[in-house]
Amino acid sequence: MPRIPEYQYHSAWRQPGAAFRGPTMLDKATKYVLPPLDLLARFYLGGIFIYAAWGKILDPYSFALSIATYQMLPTHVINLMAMVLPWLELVTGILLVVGTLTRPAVLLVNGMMVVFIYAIWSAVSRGLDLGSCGCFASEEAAAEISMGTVWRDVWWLLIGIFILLVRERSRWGLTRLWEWNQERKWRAKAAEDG
Amino acid sequence: MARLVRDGMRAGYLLAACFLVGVLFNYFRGEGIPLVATGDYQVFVPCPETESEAGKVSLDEVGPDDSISFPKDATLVDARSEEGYAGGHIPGAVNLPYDELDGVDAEAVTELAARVRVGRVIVYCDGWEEEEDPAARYDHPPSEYLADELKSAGIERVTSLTGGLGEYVKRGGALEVGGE
Repeated sequence: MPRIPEYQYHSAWRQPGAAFRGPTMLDKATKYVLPPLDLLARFYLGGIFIYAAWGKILDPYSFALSIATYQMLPTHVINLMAMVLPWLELVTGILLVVGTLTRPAVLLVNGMMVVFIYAIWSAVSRGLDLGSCGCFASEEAAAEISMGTVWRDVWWLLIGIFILLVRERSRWGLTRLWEWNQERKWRAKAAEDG
Repeated sequence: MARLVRDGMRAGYLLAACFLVGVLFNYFRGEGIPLVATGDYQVFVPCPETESEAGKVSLDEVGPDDSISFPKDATLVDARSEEGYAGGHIPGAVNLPYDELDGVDAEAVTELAARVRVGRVIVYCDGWEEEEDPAARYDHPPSEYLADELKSAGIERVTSLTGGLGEYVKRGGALEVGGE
């Protein structure tokens, strides 16, 4: 596996065909600022999803009832959704935290966030008094549904979009660790071969 | 773009895997839910809070033990169902059924409020105590809820009768049978 020169990691910022005259300030920012920010965002969003999934997996009936309260889905779909959605949240949350298959996971997370935002916005605009949004199982985290809940979810969606956009240039995580190990092996083998 | 399509396909595989895990986990766990709900979910929404809380009054305060006499200016309101009211009620009481889900007829409340603007209102129901009937549908006797509603509707002097009709009958109070 050939080693990718350092500057090629950040070449996306440069005009195609432009001569390389050393890393720019933007390259340095990309290298030193984005990865920790991306890691922080992944831990934050992943943690929220894992936490949200856990209670729903333990008590699927309550979650099904929460879905039914929105009065948006036909009854025969509700149970299936209550079975699958918590696992989707858990798996994507774990993938975000460990940093492997991150882009597919964050695509799913963003898709879920769009659905959640629409559902909550629709419930608020219809004047449904749901008590809580059903996003979390625990009583403490069950915020009363309002436009504030919608904005909170929009904030989480923005974080998801950020992860999706910077992931090309920020590769801290399990996948990068595996690649780094492969590179190390390749270099050792190359050194052995002379 | 090609990368996005590839990631989208991987997301699809993830979705399919989660679908499978979710359904299988639910199938093998002890207290799983059916794949398709057998009946409609009973969706309850919390009742709106009343704006003000009415007080309570006991039969001791209303009149002496041996002769239950309500004040002359008092309007008695029976919070039970129409059938319960017809089966026997305190003489002179008007029926204003209070239902946990449907609440109370707003028009009837407004009408009563207009009628007894300055008078006193005493609301009663069957009169159970929480410890006596743990399976009761209400946290409090319906008369208390109705009294709160009436208070919110603008009736100043409204109270709920502690012990309700049960206590009244126990003390030998006379009943009037028949509808309004």
